[in-house]
Amino acid sequence: MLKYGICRDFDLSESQTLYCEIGSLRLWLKKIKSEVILAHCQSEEVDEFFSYSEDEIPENAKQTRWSWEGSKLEVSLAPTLHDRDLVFRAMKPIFLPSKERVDFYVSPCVKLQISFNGKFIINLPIIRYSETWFGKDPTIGDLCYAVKTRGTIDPDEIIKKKYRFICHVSVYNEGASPISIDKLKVLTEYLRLYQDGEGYLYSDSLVIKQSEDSVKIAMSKPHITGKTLKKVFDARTALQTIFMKAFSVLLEH
Amino acid sequence: MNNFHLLNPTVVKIIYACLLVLASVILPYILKPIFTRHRTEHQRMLIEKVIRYLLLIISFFFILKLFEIDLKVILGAAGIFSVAIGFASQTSASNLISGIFLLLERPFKVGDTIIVGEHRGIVVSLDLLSTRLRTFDNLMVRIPNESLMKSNLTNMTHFPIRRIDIKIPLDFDVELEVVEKELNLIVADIIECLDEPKPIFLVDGMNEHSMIVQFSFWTRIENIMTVKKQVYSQMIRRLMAIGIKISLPKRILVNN
Repeated sequence: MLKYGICRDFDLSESQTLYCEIGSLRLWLKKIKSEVILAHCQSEEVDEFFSYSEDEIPENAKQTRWSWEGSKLEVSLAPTLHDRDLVFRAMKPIFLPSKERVDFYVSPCVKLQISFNGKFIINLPIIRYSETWFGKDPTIGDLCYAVKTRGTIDPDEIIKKKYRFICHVSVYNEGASPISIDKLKVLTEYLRLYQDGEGYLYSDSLVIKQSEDSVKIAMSKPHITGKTLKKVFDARTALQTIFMKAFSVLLEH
Repeated sequence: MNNFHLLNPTVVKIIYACLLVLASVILPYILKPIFTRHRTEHQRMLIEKVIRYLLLIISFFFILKLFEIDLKVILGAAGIFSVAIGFASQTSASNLISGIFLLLERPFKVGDTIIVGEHRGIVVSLDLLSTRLRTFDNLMVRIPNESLMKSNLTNMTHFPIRRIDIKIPLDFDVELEVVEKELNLIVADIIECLDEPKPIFLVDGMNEHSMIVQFSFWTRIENIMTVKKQVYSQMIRRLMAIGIKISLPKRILVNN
């Protein structure tokens, strides 16, 4: 496990409190006798900060008690992906002529996975996304998370934070007529996460090839010039290429 | 076991019959996991019932054969009583046929929340003759399948998302743009409200003391109650904070 970015391990001794600030998440972990108190709440978005604290856990934080008999407690924090797909709006709706390609860059937030001595405990959202319906009408579609940061075609415009991952999506219009792209769905189920030497996260790159009546999606490891990437999260479903019948399953226009 | 032939043949037959009945009761429990793997709760229930009734019918005919009862006699006797039985089992037959149609048409499944007539509840079981609902105040309601087929049925949980409509009576002098903007901000702040489909704001009509506006927004069916509570409480607080009055009927008392 890498020990930078948001991938961290901490030893927690008796009566000690670990305090973490990551994005909007505020997290407290306190070991008391045969239990661990896990408290969290949401606040202003800030960069990551970890420390052992003497302060009391605030009243407004949601607290859960975890039974833990062992005296040794190692808390591990790691990035994980959302259980639902993520939907982005393009900065401005973009038209894609036939046989042309557009590259989008998006930087959604990851979730934080907490483990005690390697045992999974809970996944917490670093930024809470509201839910959204991705479909032509309320009868056909999927429940997804609506990501507030918009997809951009300029990689320099992207928000770079260690609790966000950068996903590069290429859309090819292989059809005969132009298409407009307003919204884009990122399939989290198939994505893997990688971390560079500075602690920044990247996901697999997505290539969407849209023809008249079907969509072909391929995934590949991101290529970041001059950086070595290490995998920190494996895809829930391993797939290299996906075929989908309807265009609307990934893009909305 | 070697001394089995020493027993009275009638006793042996009774033992066989008991074993057959026992097998037809136990076998569905053994066969159920094999046939219902990767099936929905609704299909599992249906398969279990089919297996159970099929085994009971087969056992019944085996037992008749075991006791050397002529099936023709039974059928003949049934013929004599068929008119009487026909009259008596009209309702049951109708419920049975309706049950089969419901199973095929599948307007709801076990676990769905439905409204039938004055009853609203969660479907606990869909049997061949009746459907059982558990109401929200924890009552069991048995509805004959025939009634279900004849009634208007609303499935509240068929689609994963639902629209919530709120009617708000407002004073005639309020600025609708301000109200619309504030209501949109309220639902944007509540994480359980869906980002899309977008909320709808429209004027629904007027009466003698107010202008009725309708504000509609979407949420997951699981969140309806909590979201409604949050939206109503925030709406009253935030509209009052910006000076928007919810219009109430006014009565002027004149004291002569």
